[in-house]
Amino acid sequence: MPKFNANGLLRSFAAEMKKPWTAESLWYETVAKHPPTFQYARRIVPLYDPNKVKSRGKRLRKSMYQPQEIQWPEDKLRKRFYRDHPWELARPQIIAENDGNDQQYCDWSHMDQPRKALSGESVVQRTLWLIENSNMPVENAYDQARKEFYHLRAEQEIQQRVAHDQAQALGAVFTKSDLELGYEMDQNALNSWFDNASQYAEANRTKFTDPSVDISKTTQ
Amino acid sequence: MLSRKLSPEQLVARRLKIRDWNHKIGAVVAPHYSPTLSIRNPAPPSQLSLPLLLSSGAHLGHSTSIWNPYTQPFIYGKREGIHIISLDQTMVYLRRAISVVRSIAKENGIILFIGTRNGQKDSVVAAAKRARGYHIFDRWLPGLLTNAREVQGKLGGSILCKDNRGKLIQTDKKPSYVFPDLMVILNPLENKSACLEAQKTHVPTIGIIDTDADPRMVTYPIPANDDSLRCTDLIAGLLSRVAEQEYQKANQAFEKDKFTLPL
Repeated sequence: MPKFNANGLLRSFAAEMKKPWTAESLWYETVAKHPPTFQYARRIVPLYDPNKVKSRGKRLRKSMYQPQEIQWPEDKLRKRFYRDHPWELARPQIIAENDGNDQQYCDWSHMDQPRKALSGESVVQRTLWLIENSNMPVENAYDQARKEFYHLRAEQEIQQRVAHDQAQALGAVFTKSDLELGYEMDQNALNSWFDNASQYAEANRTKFTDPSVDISKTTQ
Repeated sequence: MLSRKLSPEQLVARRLKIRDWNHKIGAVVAPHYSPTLSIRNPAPPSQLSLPLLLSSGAHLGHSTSIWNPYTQPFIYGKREGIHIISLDQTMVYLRRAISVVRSIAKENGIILFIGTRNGQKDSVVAAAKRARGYHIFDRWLPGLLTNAREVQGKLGGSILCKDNRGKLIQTDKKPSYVFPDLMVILNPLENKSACLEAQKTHVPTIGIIDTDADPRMVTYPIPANDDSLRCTDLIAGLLSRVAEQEYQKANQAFEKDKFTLPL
């Protein structure tokens, strides 16, 4: 008898219902109409990797039930892009989806999408679109998508710089950025630590020095 | 030059005119996901779809090293070190759970919602209020069902009623023991004692079973991601919305009968 057997509710309650003082529960008809799954039989999973079929004997029998690795054509392109441009991973991204149909609002005949921020995923999808629709080889499609990406990134940077200059011209005052504030706080912490450490060392000078050494000579 | 004074009617007219000018200015925001909206106004079961489950992150399981082999029928594959739950299986089991909740609500059964994780309090309370049931969001008291005479008796409280002037006053009567007819557990792994007590007292349970949980802990498992608040909010909202629809249907029948009664 396993510890958890909640799916055997009807069977255990049938024994209970034989007692004369037990009334029929309110849920009985519902559970009888929708009987719970009693046995979770393992299912044979499809093999995505044909190399695993070469296994023999017990390994093949075991691999029939093991979940297989899921692979997509985008994986190689994505890995290559982020290996070539590792700093793209440092950009903040929004990973929450509005509804599950977000990919239907994108038209990858061009790189810029109104409802999606520019990222490495845009390069991957654009590359796949070029491979399918323009019959380009992978190298040429990737290069074209990459160049379009560079162009759009440069446009973004220029727009930000122009907006910054316009705001300053119209009177905006930009204070220190978060990084500069962080540096200042770090430096203040280090300075206070240095002062405390100096006072501590000065107060405990005799503890830290060897009495056999003559200190008066070192001070001169 | 002093500005001329306007009468109140003219001020109201000017305000309406300015509003007519200005209400067309600006961008129209495309429909987007809002966390509080899915708690206040959850999706009805007719809007249940695979893209909705996919956007909620219901397909993301746990690490492959802490896998419970009994969940093998629910798993689609593994990717990036985690198991991916098959949303086809999720859809099948979720629809069965919806049917169970609908039947229980039709019989005016008591539904108890349990969600003891951080962030699940709002959705659990809203779901229980919508389904006219009860909720537990902090801790399952051991013995709440198996030792109901002692544990529920010590919870205190008394029945309130209104006096002649409509003011609420306390009475000496205490509420009787509440035994739920159905329990919805959003995180069964952390509420194992609740699952065991429901099993011993023969109460059917609906629970979200991740890839590291045992599906035999609950009567009706829903293979989904129990670590995503969006997914648990979606499932709790769906089940409570089903119960609410059944109650409204019963009320409509009563309202229809009321007009046919003789004067």
